[in-house]
Amino acid sequence: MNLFTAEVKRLFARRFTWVMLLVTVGILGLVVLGITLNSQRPSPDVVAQAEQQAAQYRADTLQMREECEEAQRSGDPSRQFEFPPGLTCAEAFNPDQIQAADFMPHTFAFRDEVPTLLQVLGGIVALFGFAVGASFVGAEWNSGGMTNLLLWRPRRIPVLLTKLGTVLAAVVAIGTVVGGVYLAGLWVAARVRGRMGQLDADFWQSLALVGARSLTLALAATTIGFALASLGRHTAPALGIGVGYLIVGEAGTSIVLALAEVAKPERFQLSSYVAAWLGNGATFQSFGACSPDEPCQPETWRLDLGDAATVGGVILVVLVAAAVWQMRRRDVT
Amino acid sequence: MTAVVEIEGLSKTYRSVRRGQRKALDSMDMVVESGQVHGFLGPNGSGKTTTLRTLLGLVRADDGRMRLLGREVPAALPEVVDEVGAIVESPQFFGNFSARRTLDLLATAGGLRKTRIDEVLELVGLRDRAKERVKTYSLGMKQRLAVASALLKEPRLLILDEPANGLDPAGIREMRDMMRALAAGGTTVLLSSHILGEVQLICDSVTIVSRGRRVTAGPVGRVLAAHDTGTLRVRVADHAAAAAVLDEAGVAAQLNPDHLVLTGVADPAAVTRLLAERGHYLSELTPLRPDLESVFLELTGTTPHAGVARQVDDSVQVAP
Repeated sequence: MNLFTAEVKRLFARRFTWVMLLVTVGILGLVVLGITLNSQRPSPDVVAQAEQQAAQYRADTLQMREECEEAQRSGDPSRQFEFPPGLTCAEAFNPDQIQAADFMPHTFAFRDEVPTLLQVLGGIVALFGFAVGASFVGAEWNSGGMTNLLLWRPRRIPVLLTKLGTVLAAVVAIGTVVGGVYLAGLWVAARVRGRMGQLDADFWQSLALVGARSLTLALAATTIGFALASLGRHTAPALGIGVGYLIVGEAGTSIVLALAEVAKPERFQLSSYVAAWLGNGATFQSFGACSPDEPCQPETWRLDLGDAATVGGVILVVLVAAAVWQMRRRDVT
Repeated sequence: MTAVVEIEGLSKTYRSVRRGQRKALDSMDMVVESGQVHGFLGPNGSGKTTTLRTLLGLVRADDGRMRLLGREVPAALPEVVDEVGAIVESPQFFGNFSARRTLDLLATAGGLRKTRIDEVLELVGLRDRAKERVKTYSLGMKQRLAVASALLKEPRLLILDEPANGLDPAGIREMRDMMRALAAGGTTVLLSSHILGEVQLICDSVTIVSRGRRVTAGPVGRVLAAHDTGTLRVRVADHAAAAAVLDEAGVAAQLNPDHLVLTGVADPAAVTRLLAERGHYLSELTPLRPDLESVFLELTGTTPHAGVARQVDDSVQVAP
């Protein structure tokens, strides 16, 4: 317990922790501010005008549908409408899809938009956790603080795991508090300049699950940053691998896989699994044989929560096991 | 007296893919008795720091046996570590923390009373600079902080690796006085240092190592006596004539412009009598006792020679 208390004090005595926290809070504050400023509650005149525009568009669309069906009945190739194969005229020109809201300025809808914004929070807190987790152990190795600590507590694995536990507990606490304030800000934004929507028990339950997954993502990112810095005994390897992965693993791989025409390239990118984790599954489209000359209906495929959990779990287990093994075996010189 | 540190047959080879193998410790032995200030001496790269790091659980030994305060280590290190204060090599601290915060974190981790922080800051002379960030400290101040961190636990055994490194002359003297005071209070001090004059002044006993192996060990007086060659410096009115007299009597005398150096003299009184009987009256007779530096250089084979650049691993290798 003494060691945990000391590590908590150490974590919050570090300037880097506070700088990263300020950056995180600043970014989330800007998100809330941007949403508040961009949201407008429409006046009755604006609503009436939008409904009038929507009605006009619906009528136009209906006319297009009739022309489309007429052209199909005539069998004249020169009169055919172009749209992706597999769609009917009724599906391609559906007046019911046109809403008055499409012609009004954006109104922030708490119920509809908060789940996605909570995923954004998860991503930002994950970046915070990755950097702080890596720095917390990396700077200790680099400065010799870890050597000093091991002279006081010569139990390597408990020291390493206590440090990891400390930074994970901090991310939970910070993620919960910052997330709570962030949600409160969005709630106020919706109250003042948007609309709430129906906030029933199902909504809150679903939101809690999104929040839990976001927080889990942040904890995983923290653990990965910590483990990489622990393996490299410096913050730089973790940050280098993180940035390197984004450049090579995401952007570079996308280009290479596209050039090689590999099917379902998203399978090989962590961001796909992150999206699947945050969104309770993610659907991807594989255009495969489609081309501008031969338009076709893209094949859809899905990564579900289990896929994301498996990939994330394997990465975490491998990295943590490697960090622990190395901590046990490698000399402190 | 009981042994506080016992090392027997300690071996360690560093292995690196790029740099290959390097034997740092080659069946090292060392014993430090309770209540003593024990000097641990050796040329650069002779294995002193590796020995201390191994003793403190930072480095894994390949072979050998170690006991600290009567307990086998590293197995029992967690149980005895509260009674061992140590600094190993250069002082290492997180630069953005103040000295007080650094000590506070260590005291919290060790479950120590906070009043001890002020005591050690006072003791090492950092009381008035304790709130400044460590990265603004000079090497000497960092060294003082390192000593403060080692003293925080009120240890029975204090292990100090080059504690005088970077200290000003007054700091070196303060460090010497502090070690004496600690030893007088019952603390055993294991001191690794290259300032051999200091070691000779402070230490009760020494271990000298070369290339990972013990060259000699024992009380300082005994180590020096073992290398006493019975050398005398003699001044008389006529050095050449006196040299001839001594030569006749079988005493080796080296003639210098203003004095004679005699070697292998077991009884200086015999020289006094012999020269006086032949009318050569002494104006000076000084026994030239070896100091720790000369013994160290001789034992480790590191005596500098003009025009020869000695490499760090050029030192004596003792046969098993």
